[in-house]
Amino acid sequence: MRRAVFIIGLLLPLATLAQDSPFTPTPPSELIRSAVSRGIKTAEADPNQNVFIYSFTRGGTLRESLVLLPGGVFETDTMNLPSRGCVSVRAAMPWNLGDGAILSVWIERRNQRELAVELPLDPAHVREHRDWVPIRFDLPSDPDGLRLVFGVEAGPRGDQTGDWVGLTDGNDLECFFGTAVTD
Amino acid sequence: MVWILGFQLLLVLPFVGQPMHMDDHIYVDMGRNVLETPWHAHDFPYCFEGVCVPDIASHSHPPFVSYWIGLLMWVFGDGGRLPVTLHLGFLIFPMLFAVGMYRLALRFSGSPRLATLVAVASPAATVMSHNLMSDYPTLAFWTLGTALYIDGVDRESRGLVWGSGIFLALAAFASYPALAASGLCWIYALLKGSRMRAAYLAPFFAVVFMAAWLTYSSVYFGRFVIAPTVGYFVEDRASLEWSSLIQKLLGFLILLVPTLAVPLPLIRSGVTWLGGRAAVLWTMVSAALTQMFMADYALAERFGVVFLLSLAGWMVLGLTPQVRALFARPDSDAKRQDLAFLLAWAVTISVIVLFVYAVAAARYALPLLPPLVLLAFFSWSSTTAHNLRRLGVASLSISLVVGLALSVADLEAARVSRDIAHSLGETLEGWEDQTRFGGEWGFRYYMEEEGFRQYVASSDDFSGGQFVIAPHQAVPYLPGQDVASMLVPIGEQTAGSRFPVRLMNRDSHTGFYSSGRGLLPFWFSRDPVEGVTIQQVSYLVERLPETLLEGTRPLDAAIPFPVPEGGIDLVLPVPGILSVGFDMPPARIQFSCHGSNGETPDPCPVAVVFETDGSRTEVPLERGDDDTVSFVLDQGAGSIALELLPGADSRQESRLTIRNWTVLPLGWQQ
Repeated sequence: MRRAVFIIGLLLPLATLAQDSPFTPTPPSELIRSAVSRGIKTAEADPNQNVFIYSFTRGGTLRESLVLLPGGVFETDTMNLPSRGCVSVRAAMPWNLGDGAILSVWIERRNQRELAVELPLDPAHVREHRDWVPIRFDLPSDPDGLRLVFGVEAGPRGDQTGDWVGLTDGNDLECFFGTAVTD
Repeated sequence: MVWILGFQLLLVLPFVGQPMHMDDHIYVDMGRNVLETPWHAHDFPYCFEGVCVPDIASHSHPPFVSYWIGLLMWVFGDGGRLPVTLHLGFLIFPMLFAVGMYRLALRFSGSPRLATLVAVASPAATVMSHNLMSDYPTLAFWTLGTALYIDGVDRESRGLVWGSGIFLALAAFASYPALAASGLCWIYALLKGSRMRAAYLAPFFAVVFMAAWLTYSSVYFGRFVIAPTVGYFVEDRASLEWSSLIQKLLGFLILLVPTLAVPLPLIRSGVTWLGGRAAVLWTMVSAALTQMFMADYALAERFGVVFLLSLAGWMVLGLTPQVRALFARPDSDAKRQDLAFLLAWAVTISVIVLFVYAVAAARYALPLLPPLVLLAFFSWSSTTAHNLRRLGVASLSISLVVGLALSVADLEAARVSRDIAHSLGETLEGWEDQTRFGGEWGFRYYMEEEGFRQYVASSDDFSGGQFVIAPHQAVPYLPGQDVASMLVPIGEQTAGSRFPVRLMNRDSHTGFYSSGRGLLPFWFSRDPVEGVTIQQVSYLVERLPETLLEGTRPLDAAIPFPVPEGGIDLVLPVPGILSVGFDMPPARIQFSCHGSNGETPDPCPVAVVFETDGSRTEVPLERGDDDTVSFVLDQGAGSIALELLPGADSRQESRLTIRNWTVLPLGWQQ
């Protein structure tokens, strides 16, 4: 009897290991994985680059994001369709400073680029931009595949103060870069 | 025994009025929750160091102290006298420690009363007996439990042995690492060849109890509650990385003498061993280690480190000849067993401090106090009773002086935190909703008492005009970068103490409670004990999306820029009118003006009109001594119209910069 108590007393806590633990690491963002595979580093690893990985808070949520500075360009790998027919990301700027920036997303296929999204972001003057702004757009079907090109330029007055645009996964699971991101 | 207890009371009673300090507030909050959910003491959301968790089940300590505080609150109530009530309720732990220590000293020491007094007067133990954390209760239960166990094994008394099991379980219920006490008891039983079954079962009670509690807690919370705790220490705090281990090792050695204890018999033995050559060599090594790892410390601080490291090394060296002599004697089996047990106890605690905790701290080393003192006052054959008494009296005297000094310094630190919060409460009376703070320790407790609200690092619920207050020492943290980009500096306040000793101060590299602050457990300094940095969320920048800019050209806008020295510039087009709503308590608005070329125009080319209830009032501007401009708004909610006037110069400024627009309570004194 005492031996049984002994065994149960020791094994039960171990059994609870089988349950979900809040210590499960957060799955890495698909967009960040894509960036890392293209050699993008964190801001600390290379402070002189204009495309880097950086975590910041917006709307009360800290997210790891791919940050582009004015002039910075990020090209994805070729995306083979028709596994998913859309793109879902979120964009934000870390600070409420300056006159904002413009995020552009092009679809490049067969060496031609087509503008898919041009989004001005200005968190200093637009309260809705003080959060992670969802962006979703459909992709054309192309048997040869296509790639996305993200770029940032300064706002309408040409001022580059605070012009960091961060991109992270969106919440549409049916799209590229859509993950179960919890708010 | 009675006068030993009286002596212990004398060390604790004068400090029962000590304000809440360090992590006291966490245990008080848990104690309050015990009254709400007594079967789940840790089931409530909590925020700490700017991060929130849904429950506190993975806290670094099990909930014994929470339950004790909850019990005291249930019996005596909450309220303004709570610190005194709780400190009186914690008096039992120093008493239990004194009883346990005396029993151990009778068993192992050549001078039991002196050994007990030296242990009781330990500076670290004295300081820790004045607060409400789990370290002293753990020490008390561990010591008494071990003492009862040893007595029980020696006398083959099942009653004593089973009684010890209860105290060992309580020790583990106060601190997870205290489970090691059960292992040490088994070692004692094995060394003594005990055949009493109770001797092997009784310490097991602590293991079974903790396994049952962990199972109960884990099933309730749906996770193995101690896994995140381990992960936090190993991964988040990198406690097993080499740099961390070296820091902990140095911090641990430095705090041994005299902070933890003053084992003069061992130090004397170490200094005289090999004609003093080993001691001199160790001092040279200490100097080299100090220069390698603490080169940025002030020269006096480095001398202090060398001195304290030397003392620790001499103490360890002092064991060597004594141990060798004892093991060389053929007729001292029992003494060798006793020595082996005490050494095992000392080594176990040392390993726990180095490998389990994230930092070295005097409170983590408290369970080392009994074996350290017992080794110092062990019945070594080489030490005469007369010498032992002489050294014991000297140890006691030094311990009392150091312990009293550290206790006063700690009391001052607790008092300063409370007084800073009270001072802010008076200055910001009526502005409680507009005041947020980011800090911990007693500072947090008293700021919450004043009605101020804590923010977390990811908070996005700040509004323009809110004060953001961060302490300098009490674990400050700022809000996220989005809010930080809108902060304007208001000022700083510091508070000092005439008593020139510091225990937890980055400037003087002291880290009594955490070697992360500094490797010195204490030092002599007149640096401020605590201070606060006060900033404000820029009213204009936070409300910029809702402002209206009129009378300007297309593409003109109010653009915020950071000021290199701190704060925000808002660059406005001239001419123009900037309108923004105002809904704060009566206040003085203050800012400075700068032209396109950076100069300060006099007068500042703005006019302020306040609109409320259909009436428009031009508000007079006042010029300050520091080139700032200010005006008073005390007519309730309304709208401010800032008219940006073209300059008299024919060139006409096209831009005007408003710098650090702040909203201050009327009567605010910088």
